[in-house]
Amino acid sequence: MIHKCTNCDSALTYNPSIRLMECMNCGSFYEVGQFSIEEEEFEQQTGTASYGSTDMFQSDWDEPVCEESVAQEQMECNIYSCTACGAELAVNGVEASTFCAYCGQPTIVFSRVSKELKPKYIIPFQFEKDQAIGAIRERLNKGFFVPKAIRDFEVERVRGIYVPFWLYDVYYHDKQYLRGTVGSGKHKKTRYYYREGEVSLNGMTADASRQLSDESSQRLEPYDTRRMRPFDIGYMSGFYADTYDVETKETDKIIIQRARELYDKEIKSNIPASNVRVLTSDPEHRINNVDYVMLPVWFLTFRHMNEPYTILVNGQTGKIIGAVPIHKKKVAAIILGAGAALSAVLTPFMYMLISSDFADGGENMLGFLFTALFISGMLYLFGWGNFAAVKKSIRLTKASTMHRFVKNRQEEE
Amino acid sequence: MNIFILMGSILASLILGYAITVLIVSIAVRKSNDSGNSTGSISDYTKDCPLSIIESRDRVSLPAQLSVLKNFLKEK
Repeated sequence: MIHKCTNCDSALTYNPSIRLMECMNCGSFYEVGQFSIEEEEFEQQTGTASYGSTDMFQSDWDEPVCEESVAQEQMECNIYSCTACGAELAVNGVEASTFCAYCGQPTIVFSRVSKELKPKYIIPFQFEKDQAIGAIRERLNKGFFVPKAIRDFEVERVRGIYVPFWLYDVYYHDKQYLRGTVGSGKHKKTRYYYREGEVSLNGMTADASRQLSDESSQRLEPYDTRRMRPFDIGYMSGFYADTYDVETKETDKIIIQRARELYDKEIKSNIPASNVRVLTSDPEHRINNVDYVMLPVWFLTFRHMNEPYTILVNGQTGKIIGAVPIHKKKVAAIILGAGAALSAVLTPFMYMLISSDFADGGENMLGFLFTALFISGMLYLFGWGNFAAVKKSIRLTKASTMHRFVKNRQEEE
Repeated sequence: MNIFILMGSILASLILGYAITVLIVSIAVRKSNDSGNSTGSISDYTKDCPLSIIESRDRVSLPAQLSVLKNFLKEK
């Protein structure tokens, strides 16, 4: 379904900066929802236009769960698919891309017109395409170890995509015994603690698309769900939308696990001790509500050394997610140069330390050597840990990883 | 003897110097090339109603401690 200009019959595009639908041909503007009878009915029935009020969360709170409460309305979409990675995108009122936003291949073809589940809410794009490109360019330009070829990426491959998510309201309650240590040195003691607490976690998001890895989608958070609007197809004009293909029964476990992790972290921070550990736990949880929502993400695909990479930008907050390849020669040169310089500075101190110990009979030499080796080993470990984390992040950013991710998930089915 | 002390000092300085450099460069590389590692925190989902502690005990009796440890070991 495409909204068309009543003056010239051209497809309309949603403009995030003015929050209106715009005709790029004749310059006319239209309110989002002007074409939608559903939103008018929604507003008449509830007297609210925004999801953001606390009352709305509260009123949903006592409703029984889950799949029944998910809106079952459907909408018509033009589905395009990528013949390389199998990704599917719904396209409304915009010319089809020649590049797949997920794997960067020029293999997007029209697949079919499909009836898709209509989302209940949407966070419209607030961060414009130019702002997204600017933010990425600024971020990459600041990166001292980013190769120059990446800083000059091709801007044509930036796509605004609404990614489907399940939005959960969860109640979590737990009774826990915890153990921690207080004091230090000889005064170190083990203490036991008991905590019973409860929390209502509203607006937790779970990725409803197989195209995006859970790790990438979690890093897109947080979204400000108070700024959500009742869904209107007008917000999608000029953007792409991913199609939902993960059921809530798959995401329920992920959400409960995340609720547990967040609860445990918060409880541990409440304990006046260090090295706190949960010994026993008696959790109770309840999923109070699940809604199908669309959240905005900018996908920037570029190539480096003939390999595609995809950087994501949260379309509401502008948060950038992704890692780019390292300028390896620069890193090696700095490590060699700075390492040699630092070693040269340290040598006189070491010489003084060792020679003074020898003058005293060399009794502390063994201890000194072990300490130096231990400290150096720890520093190397932390250093390589950081490099490994960047490498993992680069792997996630590589569009071919998304390609493999989609393929693997399809083979699992 | 002095030459051995000097060689030992150089070796120790090289090991420590390169370890410090690797750590600093790795932190710089992470800051430079990787972004958006954080995920949502509990405060993002509890804006209107933060976690409430129903019961809190900082001193747990010895029998309770033993029982907890017993259960903990049993679970393991």
